[in-house]
Amino acid sequence: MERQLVEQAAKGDPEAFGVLVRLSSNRLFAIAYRILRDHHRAEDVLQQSLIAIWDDLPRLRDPERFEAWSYRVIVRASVAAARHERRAQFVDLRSSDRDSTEPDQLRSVDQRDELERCFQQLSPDHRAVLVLHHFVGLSLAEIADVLGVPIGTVGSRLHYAVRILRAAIEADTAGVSATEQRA
Amino acid sequence: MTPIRDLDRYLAEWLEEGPDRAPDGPIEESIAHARRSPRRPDPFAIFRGDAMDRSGLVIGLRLAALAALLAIILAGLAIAGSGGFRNGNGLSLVPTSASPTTPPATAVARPSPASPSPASPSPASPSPTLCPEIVPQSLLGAWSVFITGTEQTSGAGAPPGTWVMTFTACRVQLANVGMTPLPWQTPAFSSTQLTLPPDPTCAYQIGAPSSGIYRFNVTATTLTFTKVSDSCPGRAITLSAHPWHRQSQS
Repeated sequence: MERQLVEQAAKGDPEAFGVLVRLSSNRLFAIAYRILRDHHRAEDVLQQSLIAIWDDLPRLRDPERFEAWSYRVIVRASVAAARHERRAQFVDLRSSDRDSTEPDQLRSVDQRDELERCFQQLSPDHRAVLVLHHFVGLSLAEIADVLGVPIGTVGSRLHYAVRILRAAIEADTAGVSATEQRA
Repeated sequence: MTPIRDLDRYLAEWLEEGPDRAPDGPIEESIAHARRSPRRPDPFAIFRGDAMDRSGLVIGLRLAALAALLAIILAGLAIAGSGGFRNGNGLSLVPTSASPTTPPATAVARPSPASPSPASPSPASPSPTLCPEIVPQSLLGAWSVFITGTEQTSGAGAPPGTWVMTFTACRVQLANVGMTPLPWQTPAFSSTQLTLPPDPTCAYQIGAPSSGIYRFNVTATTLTFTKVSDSCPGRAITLSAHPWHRQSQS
């Protein structure tokens, strides 16, 4: 079914493309959101990616690989947007560092917020690997195929991302405990 | 705070939270884009890599293939600009729009002698309608002969293989099957003799270019040439090595 739609869309059938997009856009949006952690930016990235998928679809030789290829398109767009976001956020983060001296704010942070903050400290490439592995459920080999990088690179990114995340959470937890003790 | 013991599981649970439904805006916009942007034929599609290719080598090979193709095209243009390809015996293999010896079109001749010949019709095919009737009726049509590689010695230079000779009311053309036919020529005839114009492009010319003069003998199915004189050895071997067999009649 999907193969047929991909072939028809590649030949220029916008109706087939419409069906294909409706079938896959929820998954693509979910991936973009989880890498970017921002609804509006994920929406922008989704639109940009769907248009790129239409434009480049004739270059996809094997229609069976559409899903992996669409993941590649959305992940690359999300990583690019996240990199831009990180540069834009740099000033904001420094200004929020000044605000973070307020002990009340630290006390209000629960584990989910903590994870959110630590996750956003990761590089976009590391976030992408975490999302593809822990959310989409891809194996390391599948992630390597999607990202177009060696499997060893995927393994080291995943290992590094989890280690950084754990260290950041533990440090955050220790910092909060110390603040609580001082209080 | 509760220490996070199973980070992987916790991370997976945390990632599950969040929106799972795409907003309609991007979907509608992309479909509208698809309707606005119909596919067009892509002449360079063969050089574009697979969208899922990851190898720089593949891209490099495609670029190399593109560069090689461009080089071949440029070389071809350069050779064509310098006077055309030669087949080795000096008979030009680049068609010209008309023979330089084309006679003025004056008299109405027979209807198209056209060429159901095995050699593809020449792009330089003359107008079949107007020309003086100089070719004997018995020769009209297409004839073929097979010339072996040993017969076409390196000294003669013309390519071996099947040759087709096509006579119209006022012209003759030689063609090696699979190659671009030679330009049409205007022959001269006496009762048993054919005279072809000198071929100054003949690569192994013997002396100054001179006409090719041949006696011919024609039956219903065969045509035999005997060389009287010709400064172009390749042409002489092609015409006189074996009898020609009729392929079609006008």
